[in-house]
This record gives sequence, structure tokens and C-alpha cells, in this order.
Amino acid sequence: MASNPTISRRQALRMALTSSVAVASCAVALSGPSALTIFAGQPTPTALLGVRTGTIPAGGPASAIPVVVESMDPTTNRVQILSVAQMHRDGTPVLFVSETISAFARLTDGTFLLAITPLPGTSQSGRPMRLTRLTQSSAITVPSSGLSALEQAASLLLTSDGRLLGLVGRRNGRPPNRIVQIDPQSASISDYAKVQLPAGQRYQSLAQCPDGQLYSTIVENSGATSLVNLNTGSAVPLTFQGDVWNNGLASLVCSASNQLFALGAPRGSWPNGVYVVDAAGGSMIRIGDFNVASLTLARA
Amino acid sequence: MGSWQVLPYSAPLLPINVALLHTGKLLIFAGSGNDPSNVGTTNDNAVWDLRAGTFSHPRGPVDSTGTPLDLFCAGQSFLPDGTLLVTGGTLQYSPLYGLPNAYAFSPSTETWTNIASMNGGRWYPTQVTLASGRVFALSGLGTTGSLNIQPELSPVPPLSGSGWDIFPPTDSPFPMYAHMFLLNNGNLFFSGASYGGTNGVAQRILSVPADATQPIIETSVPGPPVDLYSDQAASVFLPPAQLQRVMIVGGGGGSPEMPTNRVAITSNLTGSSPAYSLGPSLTYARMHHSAVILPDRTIFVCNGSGMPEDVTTSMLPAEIYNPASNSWTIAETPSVPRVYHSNAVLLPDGRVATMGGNPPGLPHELRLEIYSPSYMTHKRPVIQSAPNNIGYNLPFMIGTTSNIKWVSLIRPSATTHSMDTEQRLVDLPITGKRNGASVSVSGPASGYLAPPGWYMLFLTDNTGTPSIAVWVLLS
Repeated sequence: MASNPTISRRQALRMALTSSVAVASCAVALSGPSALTIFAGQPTPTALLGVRTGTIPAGGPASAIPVVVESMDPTTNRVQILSVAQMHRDGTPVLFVSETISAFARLTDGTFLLAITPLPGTSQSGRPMRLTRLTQSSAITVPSSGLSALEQAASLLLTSDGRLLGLVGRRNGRPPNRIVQIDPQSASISDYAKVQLPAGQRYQSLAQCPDGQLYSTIVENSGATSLVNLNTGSAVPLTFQGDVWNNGLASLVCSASNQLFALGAPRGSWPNGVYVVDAAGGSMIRIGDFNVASLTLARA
Repeated sequence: MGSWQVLPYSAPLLPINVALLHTGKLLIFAGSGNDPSNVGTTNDNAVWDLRAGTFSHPRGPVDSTGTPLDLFCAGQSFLPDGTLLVTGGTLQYSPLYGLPNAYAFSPSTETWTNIASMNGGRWYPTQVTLASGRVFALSGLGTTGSLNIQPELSPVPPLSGSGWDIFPPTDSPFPMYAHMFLLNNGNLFFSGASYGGTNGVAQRILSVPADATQPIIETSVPGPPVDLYSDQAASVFLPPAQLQRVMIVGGGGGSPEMPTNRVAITSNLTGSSPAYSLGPSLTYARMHHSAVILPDRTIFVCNGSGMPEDVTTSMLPAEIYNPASNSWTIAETPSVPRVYHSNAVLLPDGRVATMGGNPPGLPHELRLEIYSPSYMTHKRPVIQSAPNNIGYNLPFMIGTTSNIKWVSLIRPSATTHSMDTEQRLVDLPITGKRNGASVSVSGPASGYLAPPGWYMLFLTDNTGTPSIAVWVLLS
């Protein structure tokens, strides 16, 4: 498939704007520092949402890490922190230091869904991944069933027909990968027979566009990353500034206007940024920093 | 004239990290070895007995399921008893995420032990052993790929404490493998050298409070913008460490990235107005190189390449800096090109072992080569007797019949990616008879100048020729 390495920032902006974001914001698009404010309300429907871990309280060994959910307007790069609960009703934290957030989604009712996986080498490492439903004021966790102790969901996707799918792989990022269907209430996980992934390749992200196209990424051992259309099986190398993208992606999402957005960083660098992705040619254009671990869309 | 010798055998793995143990052996490790297909299956490490020309293969750290905890691109430094503390490593590749785990390698039993994990993940972290024996860990990518900006302090050795104390976020986003040096007043100096650029953080001094709830105070060290050439530069305490001067050598920068031959040297970093200025340049611009303190109090620079990760430009002669004359001398050219993931380490007999190299698209460089400085052909002074244990400010005697100019402690290297926070040469003041049967000296003034642990004790005679070292434990 032919690539389109000459896609311009203006084209990228236009692609972002066609996803019905606020045109009034375009004067500051793609540049300028991100504003960061605490925001207790709901994100705008076109916002990108990200989750990351927050600052650990200084002092002795910690047990919990704050969870931070942020929204980013892709036309202004404006970032806001969304208030979320940090503890369950019984007082246990949403996230322990012995765990990591492996995937993130937003359900139709506005609830955030976190896939939380124990880190290796900890007392929790033999435990299954768990799903936590998170709102501004509550957190409800259910241990998953249907995954092995070595597996985690590396990506969550709420499909257009209301299913919750997950891309599952080993906790160390290695294949084999499979696509599963997840009950967000019970965290029961079962294979999703409609899409089978080859065993030998490492798949990483999962996104579906309103036109029905299902996308993922494949990462080679070198780090070279390709976008693959799971409906057609076609793949195209992802590129940035003419070079092959070689560090995988943290997330991939698709907007209401069929625009793919990627979250990632070049190999060995930091922080993550948001990129618009040309699905046909594979070229990516950075639209701004977004220092989060995983991405989803405000539009559920 | 010095000379190079390629050994008749090769390393069994890519020596990405190397540490000289007080047993005289070298621990080398690679974990998954920059190969994602090895994650979860391989955790390469080996103990190299250079005298016997053999390697043993300890079982690397594993989790409760027996799955390897990947040592690839971890940090390392020595504890007061000679144990090597190792932090971080690789949780996953592409995107690269760091493990929060920590491990102890015992030189005497040659075994790994898992210790309390850090509070956050660290891929490409910095470790510095402090005067207290606790280890300060900084930077590295966390468990979700973000830069870890909260430094931590290890449990108190022998690591029986409950866990790692964690500091508030630093004001500056210190880069991966940030080169740090413990200063004589307890502060730390960030030389600017690092992996992948400085994140805009220039050279500075960090005041680290004993209480981790308090913030770390940063003070910049003025001078030319050396941080523009920070990527995989080398930096080293100029000998003796009492001078509190650090040299930053070469490194990559710019776009497209190119190495530099620039050299920067600080003034006394514990003086009233620390600063740095440009020194005499290297003859050959380079990055991915190593700077090794030799016991004749010169700096040996080897490895690296004139283009990033380019073996075709890496057959560079070694260069030797003499602080006394403030000048460089071109030394002999090795036979093996070494780029990214290469190392060089001073051996107790005064030679330098070079190893590694990870050129893109080419096999790992497993050949081993030894550099013998010119003093190896000289008549060497001999240490006939020395105590096994020495103390701060405590006098002790060294048996020798040679005319001795200097008595030096050199802390053994623990190095990776051109970073070595461990090696330093500390002058031991001669307090007594220089000729005849012995010299008497005084132990280092403080644990800031010489952190507790094992050191190589060298004598240097009046011709500038160093002895073979004996190991002493400073406590």
C-alpha cells in the first residue's frame, strides 16, 4: 500500500477538525503549552482521554499510586485533569504500587474502565488482572476470569455495537495475542471468535472506526510498527517525519470522523504525544504532548 | 607504549552491564539482551574469571512463577559489603517500560536475590551509593513508559529495611542514565552526560535531604552549554577525588546527531563558586565510549565511534588524559570496533578490559580485548602487605620496599552506557616513612569522599608506575 509521507500539519489539523471539534480553537492548534486545570465535569464529546499514574506521596515506602485521568482537546492541546475516585468503598486504593494500568476505556455511561495488572516480582504477581470501573466518586473492582496469570488486556475497545473487546497478550508484552470479549460488570473474559490473530506476531492496540474498520498495530522485534486493518488484513508501516516508527504505540483510537489517533513516543524518549495517523499511508503527524499511559475517546 | 590483546575466547553474552567484583571477577549481564524475543525466557548474566579464562552462569532473578525479571538496561552500584545492588530493567519492549524491581548480587556466593521493589519502574536508571551505604535511584522510564521523576532511597544495608523511601518529584526531568557523582559534602553532581539527551537539564548540583519527605534542591553549575553534547558522553571524577573536579568527554548531539570532541572540566564542585569550562579537546570525536581512571592518575578513553552506532567509524585510537599536564596523548588503536552497549573496566593488575558492542543490524560484539598501559612493561612496585580492612581517618601500614609517590584507593567500576557512578580514585595521604619496608597512610576523610565498600589499593612509585592492587574493605 502506498504511503503518504508528505501529509502536512495543515492536513492533519483539518483531519482533526473534521471530527467536529471546536473550530474556534484552531488559532492555537498544534502549538503552545498545555493548560492544566482540575475539572470536575464531563469531558467534551470530542476530547481525547488519557490515564496515567500520579505523584506518589513522598516519604516511606508507598502502597498506593494516585490515578490521574486527563482530557486533551486535540485542536488546542489543552489538557484538563478530570476528578476521579482514588479509593474503593472499603478504603482500599484504586491502584497499588505493585500494579500497573495496562488498558483504559470509557463506557457508554461515562464510567472509566481500567485494566489493572499486577507487576512481576511482587507479592501480587500471581493474581489475575482486574477491571476497575471508575467515576468521580466511586470505584468498583472485579477480578477478571478467563485470563491466565501471565496475561493482561493491553487494549480495551468499546465497539459500535456495544461490545467491550480486549486485546490480550502476555504481561511482558510478548505474543501470542488474542481478541477477547469482556463483560465489564463481571470481568468475565471469553474469546472473540470473529477475529483471529496469527500466533507469531505481536499485536498491540485495538481501535474501531465508525465505518466499521477494525485496526491494530504489529510490532517487529526491531520496534518497527505497522498499522493493520483487521477487516482486510492489509498492513502499512507507520512513519513519522519519513522514518519508520520503531517503538510501538501505547494506544490507538478512532474518532467520529474515522480519524485515527495514536499515542506514543519515539524509542527511548519521553513524554508520549498524540499523533494523527493516515490510515491509508501510515504517516503520523504529532499534534502535541499528552503525558498519559493509555488513550480513549470521550465519545463512548 | 601500551598494547592491545584480543583474547582467544569470547564473551558468552553481550556485556551491556559490567561490574568488577572484589573477588577479582567481573559480573556481566544483558538480561534479554536488546532482543524482545528473549523477554520472559532468557536473563543472561555471567561471572567472568579473567585469571582462569572461564565464565560461570548464575541463575538470573526470577519472579514467583520462575519467569525471569529482565535485567536489560538496569542500574547498578555497590553496597558497603561489596554486594552489587541492581535496580530496574525491562518490563516490556516497544514501548519500553521499566521494572520497579531491585536485586542484590553477592560476589561471594555468585547468586542473585530479589530485594524490596522500588515504588516506581525504572528503565535506564541512575544509581549512586551514598556515604550512608544507602543507594539513591533516579530517573528511568516507569512502568507505563513515562519518565520517573521521583528519586528513591534504598533500604539501609544490608537491605533489611521495609522498602524504598521516595522523594517528591524533582524540579528538573533528569534524563535516563544521568551521570551523577557523590561530592565531598554529600551533594550530588549531575555532569550533563546521559542517554538520549538531557531533557533540557544542564549540569547541576543536587542537595539530597536525609528526610525523603523534603524536596531535593537543585543548583546549576555555570559554563558552556555542554549539555548539547550529552548523549552517551563519558564523565569521570578526575583523580584524585579530593580535587572534586569532573571531566565530561565527547558525546553526541545535534540533528542529525553527531559526536563531538569537546571536553569540559569543572572547578572544585564543593568550592564557593563551582563552574566548568572547556578543556583540551579529544583528537577524535566520539560517543558510546568509556573513560577509565588508571592507577597512574591518568584517564584512559576508549571505545565509541565517530558517527552514532557506526562500526565503520569506531576503529579509533584510545586517548589518555593527564590531569597534571592538562593534555591528551593518542594511544594505540584496538582491533575490535565497539559502539553502543560497549564497556571498559580497570582491572586490579592495572590493565583495562574492553567488551561489548551492539551495532544495529549486525551480530553482538562478543570479542574481548585487553589494553595494557605502558606501565605494564615497567618494573612495578610491590605491595608486600596491607590490611584487609581500613577505616575512615585511621592510620595503617602498607609493606613495600619501593619508593612510593602516591597511595590510591580506586573504587571498582560498575558501568553501562558510558555511565559509571562508582569509579573514583581517592588519594591516601602518606603520613610516614616512604622508603625502606613500609609506608604509613591515613584512611579517607569521610564516606562522602570515599563511600564505604571494597576498593583496590594501589601504590605508585616515584617513576609514576603503579603496583598491582590488593583489595581492601573501607568501613
